[in-house]
Amino acid sequence: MRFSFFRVLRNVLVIAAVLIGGFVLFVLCSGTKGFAVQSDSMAPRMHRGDVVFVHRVPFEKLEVGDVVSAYFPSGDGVFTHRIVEIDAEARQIQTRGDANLSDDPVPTDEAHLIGKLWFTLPYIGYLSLSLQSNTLIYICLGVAIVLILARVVVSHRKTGSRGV
Amino acid sequence: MQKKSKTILTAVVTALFVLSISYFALLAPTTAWYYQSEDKDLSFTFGDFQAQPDPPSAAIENMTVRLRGATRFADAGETLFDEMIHIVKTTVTNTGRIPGRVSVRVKQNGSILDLTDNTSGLKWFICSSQAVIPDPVANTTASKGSYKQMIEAMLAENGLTPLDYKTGNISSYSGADREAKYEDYNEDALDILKEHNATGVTVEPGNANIKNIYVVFWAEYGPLKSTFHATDSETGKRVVAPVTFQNLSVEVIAKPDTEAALQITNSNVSAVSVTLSIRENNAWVPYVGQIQSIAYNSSYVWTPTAVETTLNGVITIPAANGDNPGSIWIAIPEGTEYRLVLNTSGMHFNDGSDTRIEDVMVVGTNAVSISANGA
Repeated sequence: MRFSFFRVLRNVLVIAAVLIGGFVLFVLCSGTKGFAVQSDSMAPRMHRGDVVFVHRVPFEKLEVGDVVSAYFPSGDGVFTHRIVEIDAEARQIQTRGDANLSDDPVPTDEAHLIGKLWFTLPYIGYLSLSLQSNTLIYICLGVAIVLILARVVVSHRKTGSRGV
Repeated sequence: MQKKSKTILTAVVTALFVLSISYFALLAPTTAWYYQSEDKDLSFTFGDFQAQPDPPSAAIENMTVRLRGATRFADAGETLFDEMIHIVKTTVTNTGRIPGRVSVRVKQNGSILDLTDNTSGLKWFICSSQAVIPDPVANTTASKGSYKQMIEAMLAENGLTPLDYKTGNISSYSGADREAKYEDYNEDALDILKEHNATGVTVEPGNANIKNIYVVFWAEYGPLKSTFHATDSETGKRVVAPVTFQNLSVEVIAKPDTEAALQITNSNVSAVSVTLSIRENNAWVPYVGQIQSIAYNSSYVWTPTAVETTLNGVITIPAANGDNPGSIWIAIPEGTEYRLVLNTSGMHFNDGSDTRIEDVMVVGTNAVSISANGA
């Protein structure tokens, strides 16, 4: 068997694609939500560039000390902080960033809760944080699609020329 | 067939890659309620006002002030004010002979911000006392910080009392009526603050008198309310989302001290002693307080000595050096009646007398000179 660097690379990429793609599919199908951490308000637990994955839990299951993601009261934006107080009667939680100066300014209603922290992945969040331009994303996707189609066409032509 | 399988596999793997990269690239951000703040330092030296640009000033340009939140200063129960402020520190030295005052002016995008009339919500207060900002992480007591107490004390001296919605003076108000009370208080408070900032902080002359001046910035909740989404939960924490002010220019400006000052000069080759008394409740009371003694050294350079406290009103005026008289500067409130009595024989005031009784007037017009012949 001839050693081929490109064959090894291809195999590695295939395995990585299957694993990562499988992970992404699992996340999407399980209802877990991921967010890229934009600030260090929860340092040292998590840092800018990390990705947090949260999953929905009943309000009654939340405990002081849990890290949760929630929408801001206006609905425009998400924050991920630690629960410091639970008001079961009002169905609200008071949160605070581990590295922040004080509690968050307003309590969070149950309706604004997204989920409780399940796990984090370091550094991967920089990809979304750095890709500020939607145009760039569309360009990348377009290039990828073109490459796929080109590969398919080239392979098809080769097959056709051999008379199979 | 094998090649076809390979093609399909390649396409699938590529699609998985694209899916994975797209997923992570399109992740929504999770942010924080607060930004970090930073301090700015500015050193400022000025001397005799005649020799300086008019007025002497120094500035930090293109400054960004990031505040952790907006506060409602009118609320007596608010306890997080000091954790939400931004401090600009100025180190000021007055190398001249005339006492000065340093005030502050703030511009945004090149236009002067009026403390009482700007929709940006940015407010500021000048002082010379450095207070300890409570550690927001370690501090668990709900107590007012020192800067808020300092400002409230200054306002109280001017007859303004903070509003207490819980147990105090506006506890019977709620909703729009309470908001109206806050706005009334803010109007009065800002008028006083504006005058305070314009009056500024005294800076006595003397190379050794390096004075730290602090400009305390905060964002007032009222003007910014419409931009926030927080509910008005009356918990004593009038803190909402972070606020950023950009393109600021913070100027410190020196000007002569317009409060009354008594200046006594001595053109004799020997020091002269006087007794200073001020009238209180129709009686003459020996002046006890700080004075600024200024004398020429052997190099004919004004060298202000350290501020001294008089004893029983007895003041020593330094000797002249050649044509340069010794000088004493004393800050006495305008309108105070004072009496000077010469203790050194053979000396006279410039009106020929041994005793001088005057009403203190504006600095520059209220100087007393001492000589042997009273000239």
